[in-house]
Amino acid sequence: MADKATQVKCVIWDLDGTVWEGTLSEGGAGALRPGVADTIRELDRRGIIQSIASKNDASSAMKKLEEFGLADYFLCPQISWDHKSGSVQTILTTLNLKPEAVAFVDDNPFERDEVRFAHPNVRAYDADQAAGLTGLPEFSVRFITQDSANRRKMYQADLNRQAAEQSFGGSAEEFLATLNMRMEISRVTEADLRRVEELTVRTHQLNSTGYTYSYEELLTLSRSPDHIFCICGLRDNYGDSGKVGLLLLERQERALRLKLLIVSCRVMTRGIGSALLAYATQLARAEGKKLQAEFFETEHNRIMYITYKLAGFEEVEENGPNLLLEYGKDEPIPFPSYLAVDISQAGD
Amino acid sequence: MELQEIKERIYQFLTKLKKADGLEYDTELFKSKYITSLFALQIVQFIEKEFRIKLGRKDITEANFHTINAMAELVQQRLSGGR
Repeated sequence: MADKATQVKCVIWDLDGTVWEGTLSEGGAGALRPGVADTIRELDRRGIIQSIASKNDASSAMKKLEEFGLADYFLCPQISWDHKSGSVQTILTTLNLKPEAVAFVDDNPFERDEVRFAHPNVRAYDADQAAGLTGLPEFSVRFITQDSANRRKMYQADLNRQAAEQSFGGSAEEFLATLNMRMEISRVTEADLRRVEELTVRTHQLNSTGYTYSYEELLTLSRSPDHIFCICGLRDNYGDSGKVGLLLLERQERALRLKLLIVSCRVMTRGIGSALLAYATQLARAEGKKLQAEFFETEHNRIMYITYKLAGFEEVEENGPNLLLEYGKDEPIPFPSYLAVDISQAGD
Repeated sequence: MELQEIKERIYQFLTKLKKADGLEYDTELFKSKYITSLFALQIVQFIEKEFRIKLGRKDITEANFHTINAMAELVQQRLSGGR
């Protein structure tokens, strides 16, 4: 398995001399370069998303991709005469990606250097390596879940939603209310475990502890009477976002101890972390216990710390990056008004 | 920067998150359920970006964020280099 720090989530392709032979603007592109179409399809199947940074005329380049049957594989393609480092930055921002999760493929060493200079953590590959990418460990995934196979479509729905939000006149809360978001919380079953494992490995920013568990440990936790292990799905008017959140609570004598709170970065601004946290306070109340949360500070998860603190949690123990937080209010947190929540109690 | 201007900028941002509905500088944001933790997060990010300050762990408390007045005082303290 690829080291979690080095797993590529997005591949950004150059076109001329990389995806196809020749230069489109100088009298035409030739055939697809050998193996590239297969690589693009296989990366897509693995749930690795793809985009384009190409110096070209946008409409003729997209037309060419359509002729090859590849146009749909790319999210927010950046085709213009701008610097590629700028195009890469636009893709990082639009898709909410960290540079270390991104690979850039270009036959031109100048372009690779230009991108690397601006984004030292983006990994650059020569076009000669394109056909072999799927054999490299950083492009390997251990298994393919339903969420990974649908990932491109979910990202596309996210982009459509973002565009709608930008043209929306009212406040953020009013916009969220227009989405008709439905969150479904259920107990983790064996069928969910691959997605659970994928979420624990892929998520860094919205991860309260970064704990990872083996498949066998996850299976044990899902069956343990001493734990409450929940997964949540989300859908709205723009489509199904799949399984996007995890909550793991350990039953202790006087407290429910939150061991893991994870939310997929794709749904970062939609209040799912807040809603899961609200659910945890409600569960603790129902069992007549305090709610405590373990937190392990990393360089990426400060957002989670802020979420806890401003939801009414206070530090009760501190040991370097290891914190224990406790919810100090009498009333549990209600679910946000813009979100409908279905809770299925199966397995309890 | 004048305290008044800081308050005004924070107020403007809050109304982008949520309809103003009687929002005042001293409205208790958490008690009135004016902000959920989702928005709390966006407020912290806004304040750091807008006023170019970095807030530490110890700054992220309800006491510093419960009203626009409290946030503005925190910002002004940071801007004048105080702790």
